[in-house]
Amino acid sequence: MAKMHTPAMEAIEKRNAKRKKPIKSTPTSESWKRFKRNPTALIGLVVVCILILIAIFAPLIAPYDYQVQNYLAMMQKPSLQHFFGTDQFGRDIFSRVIYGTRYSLLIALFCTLAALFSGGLLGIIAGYFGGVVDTVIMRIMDVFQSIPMIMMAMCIVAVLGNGIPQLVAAIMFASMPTMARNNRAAILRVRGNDYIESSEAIGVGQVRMIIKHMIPNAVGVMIIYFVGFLAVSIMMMSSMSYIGVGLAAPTPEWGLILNDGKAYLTSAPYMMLFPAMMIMITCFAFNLMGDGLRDAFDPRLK
Amino acid sequence: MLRYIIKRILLLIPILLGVSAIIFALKTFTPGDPARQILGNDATETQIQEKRAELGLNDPVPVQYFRYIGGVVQGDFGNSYRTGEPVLSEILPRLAVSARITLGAVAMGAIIGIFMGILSALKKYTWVDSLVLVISMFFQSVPEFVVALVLIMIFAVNMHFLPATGIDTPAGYILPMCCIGLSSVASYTRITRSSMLEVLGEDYIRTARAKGQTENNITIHHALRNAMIPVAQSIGTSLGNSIGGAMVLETVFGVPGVGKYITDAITQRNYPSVLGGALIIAIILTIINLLVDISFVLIDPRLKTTIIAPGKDKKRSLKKAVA
Repeated sequence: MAKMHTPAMEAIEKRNAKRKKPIKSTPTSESWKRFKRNPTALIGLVVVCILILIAIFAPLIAPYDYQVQNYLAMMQKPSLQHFFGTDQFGRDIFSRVIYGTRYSLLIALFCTLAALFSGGLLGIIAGYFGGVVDTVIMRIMDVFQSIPMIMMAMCIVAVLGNGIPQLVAAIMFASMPTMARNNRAAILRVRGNDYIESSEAIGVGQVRMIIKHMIPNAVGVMIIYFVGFLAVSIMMMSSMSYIGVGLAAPTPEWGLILNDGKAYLTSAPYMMLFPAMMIMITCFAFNLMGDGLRDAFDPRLK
Repeated sequence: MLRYIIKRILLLIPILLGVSAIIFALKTFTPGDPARQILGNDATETQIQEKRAELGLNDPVPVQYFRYIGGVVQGDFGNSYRTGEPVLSEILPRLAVSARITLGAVAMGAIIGIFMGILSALKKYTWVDSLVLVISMFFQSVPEFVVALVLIMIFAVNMHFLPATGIDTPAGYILPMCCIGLSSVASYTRITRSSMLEVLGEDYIRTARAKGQTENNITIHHALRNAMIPVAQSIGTSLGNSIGGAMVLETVFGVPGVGKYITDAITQRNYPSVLGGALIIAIILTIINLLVDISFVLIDPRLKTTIIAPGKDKKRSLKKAVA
């Protein structure tokens, strides 16, 4: 067919000729464009970036050591010396909250990575091989899923004891069924595509198929789960620490700081207010960002 | 219909076996001796050995497991290590408390969520829509116990309006219900919104408009009823989440429900109570999901063929309809 020459086409060609670089439109750049247009998602992204900076530069921002006890300054109200006040041991709450960012984000990252690798692997295997493998894996996951997630995690911490690696293991196991289910769905969607069939036809090996063809095409959806799960693991971690099954003192994790202030809720509410705000802001920001990512990577899911 | 229900109830058996096996495995890995835990530190070695024999702890784990399962079949969930009372009789009165809180919370979440969902669907792509979504997402993304703490600070500590802990008065139920309910608002809002938007684009809505129906009538009678199917399904999931949320919140509010019972049992490593609690929760969740599926058929008789006798293609079309 001959090239069309309508006035509109000519206008477009003229405009393109003016640009020095040709317009490149990849799925990723399209996603980023959609993400940029979403104001709430951008707010989430900015807050998350600020939190990451706080976590990295915690020693520079925090005026005091997070575990030094100062018995001359116990239970002080927020002031210029202690922005968020001090706790019953005279520890500066502002410094604890700042270091808490580092601990909470890092632990959440570990939990999410662990969950993604374990549950994700199971899901990918189930989704790729299908048949009996799929049935067996998913039925086992069904059993795991009929125990509420937080209860499962609490049981595991009760067995292993309080501590960071134990908590990571607990949240990993508890979230495995959800992760497996999500990743399986992502793989199943990719699996139906024609390019998978043609790769199969030219004899691409199974491992290569999964790593080279399936995961890269499912990665957008996986990123969505990844960011969403960061918020979930912060929620679970702080809830568990708050009721005393999770991390051990004096780790400056937000849930634990709240647990420290529990007894002084009526006399010194400021001890709990600031860590609680921090948890709220963090979880909300991650969710805003995750939601924006979902809309950007996968407009159909909206 | 009856065959379907029986089949679903039979499916409960492998799930319960699995759940009890998982927790039994956890119990086996737990360091420490339950006998010593019951008798305290000043018990003599012979006393401990006697107790171990009494509890059957010297038997191999599979034997213990099947003995436990045998008991469960007869309604015996074992005795609490802490009080020595049967677990079932300890849990049942607490179940009523938890049921009140959870059901109240789900009802509250659903009513607010459906209302907000309709609002944002009718005002789609306006500031009302964005505001509704942001507010509902806030309560979903913030841990329930943090919302609980803030509400306690406001309503109990500052205003002395509601009790901070306990359920001595009916007012004590309000804060726990709010916290659990608010966290599920977002999912209802979202599902109602997308389902409403889909239904509002259907031909029969256009027909109703063409016939000159009022907008209110269309929204309530034509759109809402058809849009409720996915919402009804999400009530099952939301009840499951609420039970998980109740575990933490009952501890925060000091409410003597099943959640607090299990949390206490976990921290005290009181495994018969944990096991009993987990099994009862799993049974309840499965029954709820069954009831939800049956209620589908009541809401929309068209689904009868797809839910009760799903062929492969029909199943796919149901999923499509629900998603």
